Parts: sequence; C-alpha cells; structure tokens
Amino acid sequence: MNEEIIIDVQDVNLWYGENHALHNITMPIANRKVTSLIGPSGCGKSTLIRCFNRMNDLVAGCRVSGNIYFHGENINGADADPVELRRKIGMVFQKPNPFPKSIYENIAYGPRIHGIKNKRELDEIVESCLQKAALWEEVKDRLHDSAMSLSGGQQQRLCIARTLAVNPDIILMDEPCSALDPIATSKIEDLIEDLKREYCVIIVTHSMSQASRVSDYTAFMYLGDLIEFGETRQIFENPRKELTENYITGRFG
Amino acid sequence: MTEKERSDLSQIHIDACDMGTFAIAMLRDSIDAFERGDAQLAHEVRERKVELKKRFIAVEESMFRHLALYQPVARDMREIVASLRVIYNFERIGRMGYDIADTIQNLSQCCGLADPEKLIIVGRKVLAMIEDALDAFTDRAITPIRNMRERDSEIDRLYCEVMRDLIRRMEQNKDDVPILARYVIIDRYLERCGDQACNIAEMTTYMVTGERVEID
Repeated sequence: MNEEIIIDVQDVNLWYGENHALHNITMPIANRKVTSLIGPSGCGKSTLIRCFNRMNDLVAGCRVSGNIYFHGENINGADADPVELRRKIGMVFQKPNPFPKSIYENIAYGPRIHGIKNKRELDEIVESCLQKAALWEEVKDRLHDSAMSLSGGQQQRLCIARTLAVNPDIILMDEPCSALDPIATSKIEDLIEDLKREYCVIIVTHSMSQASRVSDYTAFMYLGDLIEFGETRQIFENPRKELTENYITGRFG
Repeated sequence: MTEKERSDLSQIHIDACDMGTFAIAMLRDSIDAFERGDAQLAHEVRERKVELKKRFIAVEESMFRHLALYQPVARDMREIVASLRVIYNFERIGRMGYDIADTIQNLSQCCGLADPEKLIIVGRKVLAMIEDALDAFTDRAITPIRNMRERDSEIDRLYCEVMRDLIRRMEQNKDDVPILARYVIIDRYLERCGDQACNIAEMTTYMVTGERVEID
C-alpha cells in the first residue's frame, strides 16, 4: 500500500466475556480512501470498526488486546482521550438516527458542545456540512423543520452531515444503506465518493456490489478472522483465498 | 448463489462449448473440402453461416442477461467475461471456415486444384491448436494450452514459408496466378485461425487462474 496509513491495526484480539470475537487482526487503513469490511453476519466486522473509536469500551465484559495506531498514536494508550477520539472518528449507523430536533440543530449540536457559540460561525458550519453531505439544496429553505420530517435517505445524509460538523478525520459507516431504497442508496454512494477526497471512510456492508462499487480496499472477515485484505479490484476479480471466493460468489454465507 | 444462477452459468458454458464445436466443424470441413477438391462439401459449409450467427447471438444474449441479472464476481465474472470473448473467437473461426469454403468454390469454378499439401499441413496443425483450446475451455483446465506460444510460432513460420513458395511459383508461371492468389488467401485465413486459438487460450487462462497472459 503506497498511501498514507491513518489507522494501523496490529494483532488485535477482542473478547466479549468468554467469546473470542476477533482473532489477531492486522491491517492498514489508508487515508482518503474507502475501505470496505465484508463477511457473513457475526464475523466481527462491526466489532472491528467499533474498536477504531473505542465504542466497545461501553460494552460490559469486553476486553481488547493488541494495538490500534491512529496517526501513529495508540488509541488504547493510557493518555488517549476517548471523547476526542470519537470526535476525530465519527460514526454513521445502519438506521438513520437524527436527534428529535430541527435540521439546523442536528448539525449545530456537536460544534456547540465543543465550544462554538457564534451564530454566524454555526450557520457557516451547518451550510458547509449540508453541502458536503449533498443535502443543502433539498433542505436550505426548511432548516428549522424537524429532522424527523425528512425521508430515510435524507435522514441518513443528515447523520453524515452531523458527523462532519465536528471536523473528523475518519467516518465509520456501519451498513449505512441497509434501510434505504436504491435511489437513496446511490446518493449515499455518490456522497462516499465525494467524501474520500477529504476523509478516510470505512464501511461495513453486506452488499457485495456496494463494496465493489464504492471501496478502494476490501477486507473479508470470517468467524473473527481477517481472511483476506487487498485492493477491491483484486478481491472481486481474483481473490487469493478460496474462502473469499466462495463468499463473494455467494456459495456460502 | 442461487440454484437458478448456478444452472444458468452451467448452461451458458455448455452452449459456448457447443458453439465452439460447431465453428470448428466448419473450419475442419472447409479444409477437408480443400484437400479433396469437394465443391459439394464447401457448399455445405457455406450454408452453415446463418446457423453460426444464430448460435453466436443466442449465447451472447444469454451472457448479457446473466451479467444484468446476477452481476457475477470473481471466478463467475471471469467465466462470463472470458466466455464472451471466446465465443467471438469461435465465431471468427467459423467465419473463416466459411471464407475458405467460399474461396474453394471460386477455385473449382476457375481452374481446379493444384498441389496444396503444405497448406493442408498448416490447416491440420491450426485445427489441432483450436481443438486443444476448446478442450481447455470446456474442461476449465489449462494443461492442453501450455505450449500454445510455440505452436503459434510454428504456424507463423509455416505461413511465411508457404507464402514465399506461392510468390515464387506465381513469378515462375503467371498462368497459375488466379489459383495461387487464392492459396495465399487461404494461407492467411489459416494463420489468423491460429491467432484465434491463442486468443481462446489466453482467455481460458484468465478464466481459470485470473492471470492475464499474452500468447501471440
């Protein structure tokens, strides 16, 4: 990999109590690229991306070993700040989860709790983030309407805009299109293509065609193991491992 | 992968192989017709042109439909993509069988046949290459095509040798030019059929291994 490595995962293991959910995961994540995590349900994809912003800290009985370096700093180190980490590594979930507030407030909320009070500055952030999330033209005349009045696809783009508002480096997406129709899905995929100019995007998806369309790198996981990692073109044209081939061609899963 | 998808892919492979067998028979019969001066057989080969096109379009359409419906990846994608190229190669081979048969009809109309032994040798060697390429494609096994580069080099050498010989004979006896010019055309068709065999071997290698190789 010739690109700048923004996250370096080294020999990561994770246990939920007695359940050994991730086994010796080692992989690089490139900056300003899209990396897809694919694999059957329960293989550890979501568990792995939750390690990147330490969301597993919130799970009782969860234990992690190994190292994850973000910009060269160990995110599990003694001086690491999970709150700051989650600001730099934002997350978008399977189901759109806007706050029950106005469209404007959904975006302004994060910057405000990080200390930005100036109205003009907040206005600029709201417009800029909605522009980046390709939502501005659709909502600019109703910024103070409830976010809950938006369609599912618009809500998901709002959640992406909300993530951008705190100026992250990485956007984690956990099956971001699984609740969306094909049109809304294609808008999110276009957005991912735009976002990677400025951000690193890591996406968990069950759609093989989505992984092949949007990502530069793909990791295939199975039963907590990283089976194969490589350029998406290589994984989908000529995977090196038979298990990968059998999964992506739908022979098991 | 659904049972329907699996069965569709298998049927496409069977149809592509059948089309290959049909096209090779056109070439083989045209060479036989040339060897025996058999105008009737040459006529029969020419008659198969419409059926060749019909089979080509039917298999091609089933491949397009499979791509649209199933968006295959990895070895399934390689199989469809390679097969699309291979049926085109088969169609060219069948067409060249037709063209040789057409040339033979003109030959028998004008002056009769004269000592085409070397051309027959080239034709048999090319046929063997194409048959091995079809076997490899059918069985998804690249062993029969490992030496295709050497065999194609031999065809190229023989093609040039035959060409030089024909030109020399044309210079010696201008009355033979109408016949020998047609031999030159057949020589060229056969050499191009050898190239088609190499193309099939390249695509079969890609289909089986995922590696891109260049043979000719």
